[in-house]
Amino acid sequence: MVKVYIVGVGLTKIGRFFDKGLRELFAEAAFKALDEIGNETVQALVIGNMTSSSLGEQDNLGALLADYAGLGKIPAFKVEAACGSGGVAVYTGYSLVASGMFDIVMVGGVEKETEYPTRIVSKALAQAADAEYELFHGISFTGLNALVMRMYMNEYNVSRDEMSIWPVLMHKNAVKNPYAQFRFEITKEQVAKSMMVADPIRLLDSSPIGDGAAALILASDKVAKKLTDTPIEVAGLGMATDHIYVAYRENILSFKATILAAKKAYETAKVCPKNIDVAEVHDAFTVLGFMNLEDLGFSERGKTPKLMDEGRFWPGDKPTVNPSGGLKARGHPVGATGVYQVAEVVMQLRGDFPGVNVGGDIGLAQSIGGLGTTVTVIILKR
Amino acid sequence: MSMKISVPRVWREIKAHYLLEATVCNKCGKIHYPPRPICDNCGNRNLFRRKLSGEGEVLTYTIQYIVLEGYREYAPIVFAIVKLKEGVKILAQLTDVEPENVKIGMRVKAVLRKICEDENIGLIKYGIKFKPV
Repeated sequence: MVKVYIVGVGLTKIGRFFDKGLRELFAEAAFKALDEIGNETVQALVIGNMTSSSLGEQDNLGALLADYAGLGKIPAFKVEAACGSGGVAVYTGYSLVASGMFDIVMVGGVEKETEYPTRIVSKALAQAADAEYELFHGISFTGLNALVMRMYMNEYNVSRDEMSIWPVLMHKNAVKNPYAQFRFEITKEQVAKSMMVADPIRLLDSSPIGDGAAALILASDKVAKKLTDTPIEVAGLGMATDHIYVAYRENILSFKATILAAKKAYETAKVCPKNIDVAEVHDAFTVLGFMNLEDLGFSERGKTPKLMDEGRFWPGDKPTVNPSGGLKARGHPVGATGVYQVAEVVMQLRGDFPGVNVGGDIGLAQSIGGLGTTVTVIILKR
Repeated sequence: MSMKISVPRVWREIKAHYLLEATVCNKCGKIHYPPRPICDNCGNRNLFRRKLSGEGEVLTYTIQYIVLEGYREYAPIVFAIVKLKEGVKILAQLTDVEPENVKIGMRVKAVLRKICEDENIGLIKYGIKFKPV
């Protein structure tokens, strides 16, 4: 297989933008990424997106965005895996270059969520679950995660305040990130008093609804060095899926798909968890952050909240977790999030991330679609 | 926005939803709910249908305050994963219980109840909920 490098990245700030739709958001990120490679021609476009169809009444997204951003009449298509669409788009774009089919491919992620009332956006997001057997009963995506959070706290005897260290640290990290949706600190008291969404998940346990777009340029080893002085290698990647009906799984407190995807990624990159300097993980809700660190091999089951409270995973630790602020505070523009994570890790390794920058040689990005249903793990090397 | 309840869509899953019918592998005995056409344990495609007991206990639950479009009149809604006597786990609403009285380990049984109603044409969607025993 051809070696694949990331040679350009571009991000928009995440937030509520009345003046920007799917196309405007994408073009902004795409132009920034193209500027990094001197506007070289890209040969194909892969887009990660979840709700363009359900909320934006827009299908055929690949063609629309390639056309609007002036990429020409190239092959362009959307991949969808709910909130994990971005990671799967990177996985797909990697395959197009690794196979030798193309030398330069753009991977984009874009989401436009803020135009409708929360209950309508929540319905679109709940489509990540099993429509006939989960959504059928009226449960929201937050509700599904709340079932897991209660079980985690009960099983490992973790208190509300112990769980709250996750959103507190994420908000702290995001303060310096110019792309983040929330750039202010919060306290454990504020988390405990925030609105109850689906008991025990409170508003400040939840990633926000936001608009945003991210773009990456992937290049083969043949051309990477000509496009940038600082190519970052996609050293390993893995992807796996699990039973979509969460109750069917034997163990609800661990995502098999993360374990399988991580195993494959670590093997292909020839590294192990202790080699990772910086990680961006999919903390759509507080409990997921902790579970992910346990499934990725960074921490022991049930002990992560306490370890984080004692300073583990903070900036400067190995691995530093979510220096961007994570889904919680950087924001979670659903299908774009997985692309944001990879772009952020690239900038960490290049040393030019404009927020909390911890540097390092090896980074990891984990993206999840549904409740642990589709997972990608991507390992990058300087 | 209407609920867009489709009659055939609900009808074709009716035995699983109303009667809690699962499929059982006739080789290794694994019970599958929701029903599936192939055993994920041994790969056998020869499965038969069996009605589940509907009796079990609450493994975990949530009280959902922010509900989806079409469910506002029912809020807050209690959802649970119930582990049945047969070992099968099922996601459903809890009913006939005050949210503050729900406990992990609580014994429950399945009953047929209204899930929601189409806002425009009044079609009603039914399904299984669990109530305390």
